[in-house]
Amino acid sequence: MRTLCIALAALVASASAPLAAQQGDPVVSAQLQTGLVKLGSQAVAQVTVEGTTQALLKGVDPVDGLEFVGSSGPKRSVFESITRGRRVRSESLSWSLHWRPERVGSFEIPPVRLEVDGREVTTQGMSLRVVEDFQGQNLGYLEWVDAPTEVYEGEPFEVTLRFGWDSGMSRFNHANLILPWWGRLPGTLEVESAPTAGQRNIDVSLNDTGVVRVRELGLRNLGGRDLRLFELQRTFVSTRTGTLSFPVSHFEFGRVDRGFFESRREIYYVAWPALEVEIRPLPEEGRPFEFSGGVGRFGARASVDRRSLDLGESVKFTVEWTGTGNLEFFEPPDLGREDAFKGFRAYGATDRFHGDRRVVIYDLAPKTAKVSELPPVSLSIFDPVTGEYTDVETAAIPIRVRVPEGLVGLEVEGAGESIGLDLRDIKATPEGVQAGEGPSDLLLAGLPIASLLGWIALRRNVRRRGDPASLKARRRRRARKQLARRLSRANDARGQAEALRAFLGDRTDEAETAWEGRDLTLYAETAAGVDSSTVVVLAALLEELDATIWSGDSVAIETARILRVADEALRGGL
Amino acid sequence: MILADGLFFFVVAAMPAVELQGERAVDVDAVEAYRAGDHAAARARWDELLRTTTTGGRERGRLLYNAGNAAARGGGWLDAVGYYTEALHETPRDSDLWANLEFARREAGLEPADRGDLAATLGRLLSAWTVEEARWIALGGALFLAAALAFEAVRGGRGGRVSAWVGVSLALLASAPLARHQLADDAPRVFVTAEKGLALRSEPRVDAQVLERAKPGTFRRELDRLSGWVGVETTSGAKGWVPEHGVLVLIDLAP
Repeated sequence: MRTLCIALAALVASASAPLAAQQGDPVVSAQLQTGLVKLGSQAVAQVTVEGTTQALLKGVDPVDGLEFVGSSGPKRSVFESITRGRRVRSESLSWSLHWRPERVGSFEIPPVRLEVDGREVTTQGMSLRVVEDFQGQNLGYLEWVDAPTEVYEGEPFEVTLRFGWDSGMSRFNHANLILPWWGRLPGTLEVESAPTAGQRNIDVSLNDTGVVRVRELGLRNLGGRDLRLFELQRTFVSTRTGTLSFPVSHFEFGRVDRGFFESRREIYYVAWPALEVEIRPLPEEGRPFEFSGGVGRFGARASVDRRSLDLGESVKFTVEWTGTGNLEFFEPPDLGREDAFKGFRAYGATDRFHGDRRVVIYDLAPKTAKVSELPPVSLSIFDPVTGEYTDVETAAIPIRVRVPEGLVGLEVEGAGESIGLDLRDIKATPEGVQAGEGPSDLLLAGLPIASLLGWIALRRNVRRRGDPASLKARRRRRARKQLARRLSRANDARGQAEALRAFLGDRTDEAETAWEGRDLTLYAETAAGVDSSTVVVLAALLEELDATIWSGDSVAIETARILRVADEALRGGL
Repeated sequence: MILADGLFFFVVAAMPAVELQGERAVDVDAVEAYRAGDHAAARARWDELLRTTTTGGRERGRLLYNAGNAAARGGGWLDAVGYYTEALHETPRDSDLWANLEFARREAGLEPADRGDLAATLGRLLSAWTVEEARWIALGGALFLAAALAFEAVRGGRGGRVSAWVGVSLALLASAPLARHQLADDAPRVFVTAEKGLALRSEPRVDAQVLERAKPGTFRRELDRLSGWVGVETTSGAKGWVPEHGVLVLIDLAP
């Protein structure tokens, strides 16, 4: 009904706007939907600018005791009418402003500032009165349950908000939690809670717009009142010290019937004062170096997938931490760096958080068969109950390590140490006595001098007989080699005889033909320095070759024999 | 009388063997001290051996090498550089020695002994031989020269001339390592081991005029000795005195 009235009023206001618009300046107005609201509900004001579409909402000044929830809009309205045959068009913009009272009392909402056609204008002020919803207090219920007042930094703490209404109000079908702190707690992390089996959960509205799942506790009697109760439970971990504030919370409940033409709302409110939690820092005194960051009460348990294994074989070593501590946030031990686990090689770990427990599965392999147990795993934590640092340890697990035949093992001396350069080791074995000093200075100095003198003398001697590099000398030197070559090419006695005569020509610096039919014995007698006996043999060989040629056979004789005779002739001074 | 003479000759003939056994015992002691971590004792024993041993060459190089290791393990990196550098004269191609020398020089903050450039490579090629090896190489060169000259004398011609020149060139090349040894300063060497260098003073007094500063790791030539002072000549020719505690006098390690 009230909504209908507001709509009619807006229509009337819109209808009268063209007249004002015709008069020129835009008209700005602000009006609360109602000047009296219950604590917990929202106060809504309508701000309207008529006669223009060029307007901006500049700002809303804060009011102590009223939380400005926000604004919606602008909504643009266009109204056209024909007056005295003339068509008149008027336009307007409107915003909805929402406040939520934090306490009962009277409030003056200051003028709202707008920018209209480039000019800053203000609306008139508004008066609001907030009253306690006594009926809501009687019918409803809202309370923090066992809320902590003091926790340590890093310590998880649970807040439980229990709410509901009189069990006799079975017609109530509306529940809306108004929690201004929801999602706005600075310096806190929300911890995922493990779902509890067997409980009934329902969804209720949260802050008018969202939905949150709460636990339905059912019908309970509290303080002589029979109530239908629900419970919202959240766990937080604070990450910084100081005071953590939970502002005033409200619970809106009642019955809402949404008809085709109108809705019927029977709404009540119940409030609960603000909650403050003091976050204390962890003491520095007595904090161990290996402190894991765990705060709370912890329990630890270790298990292994098998207890009998081979040397070097991987084993899954599971450590599970449970309790009320910050299981999600502490640093689990690195067994690869633990002295107690030096007998094992740590290949890695799988770390998982399951809401109510933290499970780390280490992949270990024994490096030596000497290990007989998986040592206890120690976790350094802070116990907020005793206010001291303490260690939580698992129990040692006996294992048996077998060495398979032929396996050397994983124990590598020096493994894990840094690799670098160093001095090479000393030489412990004597080298023995040195043999000597090498050639003497006299030899080293004398040999080159002697070589030089010998060269001069030898050169002079050789040159006396002619130039050793002359064509004649070279021909003479090459004669033996040429003979062997020619003989290798000769196929018969004629060729061999020609080769032999060419050899004689080379040696005597004469033409080959000069030795055809020549009397070798006579030559030997006349030539100086030639042994006649060797030449006789050569002459006999030539005669033999000629005889063979003239006999018509021309059969070649043994080449080696010819060379042998030639060599003898050379030795004889030919 | 004949028996006494025979006994005398027996003793004289056996003396080197006895002496060698004694040196071997000291060496074994030094090795054991080194292994036991008593590097100072090991170094002292090897120093003693270096002063007394009659052996040279590779064995002396080994003793210097081991003494260098003992000095290095005792933290005396500059002393180690001195030992290793001296050992290069005996075992110039010992890869272990070079490795330790470069390691010690780096630890002592000195430049590498082998800088790796062309000049250093040529220098290393020439210095890669002991004196004995250099003598044999020079002899080989001389023999080759003789053969080349003989060939030229007998055969003459262009081939003979070429062979003669090749012989001369090879003989000169072969004599280069020996020449280097001969030209090298054979005077007693003094190695500066003071980490911040030493002042070369005009007289063996702490208040005497400083002539120049001797950098650590450099060699000087010993001229004289006084109590606590060593008279040296620098590479630039300056003569002066340096305190004995800041140098390793390598002549002390010579037999």
